[in-house]
Amino acid sequence: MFCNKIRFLRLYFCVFVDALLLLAVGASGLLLMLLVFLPIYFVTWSMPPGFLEAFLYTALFGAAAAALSLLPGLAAALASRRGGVVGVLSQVLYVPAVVPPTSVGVLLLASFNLPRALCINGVGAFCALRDLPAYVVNQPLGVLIAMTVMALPVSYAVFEGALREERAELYFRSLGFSGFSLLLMILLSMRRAALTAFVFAWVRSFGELGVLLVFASYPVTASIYIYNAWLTYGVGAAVGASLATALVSIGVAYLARWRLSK
Amino acid sequence: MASLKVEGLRARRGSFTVFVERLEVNSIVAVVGRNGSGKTTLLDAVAGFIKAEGRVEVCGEDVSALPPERRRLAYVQSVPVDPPMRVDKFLMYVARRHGTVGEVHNVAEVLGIKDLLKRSEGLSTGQKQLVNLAAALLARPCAFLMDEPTSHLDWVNKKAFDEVLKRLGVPILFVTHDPVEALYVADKLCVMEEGRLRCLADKPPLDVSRLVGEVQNLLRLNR
Repeated sequence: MFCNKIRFLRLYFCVFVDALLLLAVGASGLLLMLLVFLPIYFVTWSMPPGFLEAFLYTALFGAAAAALSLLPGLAAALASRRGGVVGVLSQVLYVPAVVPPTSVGVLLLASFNLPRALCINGVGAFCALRDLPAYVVNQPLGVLIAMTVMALPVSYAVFEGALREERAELYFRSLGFSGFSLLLMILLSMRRAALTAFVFAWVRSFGELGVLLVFASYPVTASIYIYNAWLTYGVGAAVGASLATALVSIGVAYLARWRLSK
Repeated sequence: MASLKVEGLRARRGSFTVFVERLEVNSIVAVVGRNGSGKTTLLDAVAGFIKAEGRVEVCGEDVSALPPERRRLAYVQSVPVDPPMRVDKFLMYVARRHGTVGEVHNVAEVLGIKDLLKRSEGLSTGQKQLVNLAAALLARPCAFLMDEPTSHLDWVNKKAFDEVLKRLGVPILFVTHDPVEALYVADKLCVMEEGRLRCLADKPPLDVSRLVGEVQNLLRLNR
């Protein structure tokens, strides 16, 4: 067709573009079939109670966690650009993304239970903190901590990628900014990256199960709700909530993309 | 007293070393050189962003041990930074920190960015670069470090930016890999080669103004 009428090199290019489109459509189509269209068959429209609350909790805690992750994520990305010991140390922010989320849950659980374990016979400095797990584990604060820990690698990765393109730090430092005001200037200047980091970290909070299951399963968040619905009522009951969560996440991601492309 | 004086500067980036025996910047000094010759490393070292041996003196003060934010050297780069807020608010914010609030409108006028003051989005690369320069001017530095500030600009914007620099008459260490631009904008010319800086005693007597005029005529013909 069109490709055959032009020179050999362009023909090659044309074939490449077609293969690219084919692969892109194939991958998207496969996921749409597996994660949206085929499961619709199992949807039961009477969902177990508590979906709306779980969804709103997730949205709220996810937004707070995403916002909390921005400045530390940016600071760590800037430090890793500078190199040195702090730069190497900053790579630790990737840990929650590369170990199983259940491991993160277990490790958080262990950390927050440490004061109780070290409080022997009710005497010692750690005893003042022995009730800490009661305020954190399976509590709203625990959900926020778990989601923030899982959001940190997202914002770190987004800012690290964005900082490869520009050296905002050097410019603002040369204008006399330092400390918190420097961080704020860079964050505001890189608002597209900040919005991307916020949206992806927020969407990530809907997908988080392992760490919440182990460390903070109450208040019930979307992933815990879906998991419980599947355990108690079977696949059909969980599919509706899963699809709703997926559609909201896709919708938000598209909205963010549209806003960023303006 | 030189605005910027560099003596015995030695900076390393990986296995690459930049060495500058002596450099004084009182007007626009252009440093030309190929990719990887050490131009940006030189600026980063002078700015204090990477560790360096030797002495950097700014407005008579030894700043070698100071961090970049206290060196009074404004660093304008090839990729301009997005203004963190609306242009006028950003300029006022910088001006307030440096006691130059009264100069904001004058700087905007001189740089021709008065129309941009109420904008926060949709600035072109050239416009962003002028806003970056405006904020840098309001920080009242002793000297400017510029790392290929026009490399992302088209010919017309490049010329406009260079005209502004010439008009401002501030001391600038201006790095570029465009020798024509270097000859056009600078009063003094240096060449960076494999990490060593060599400055020419006199600028070559090339009629750059004529060359610029011819290119402009060519652009007009093509419209």
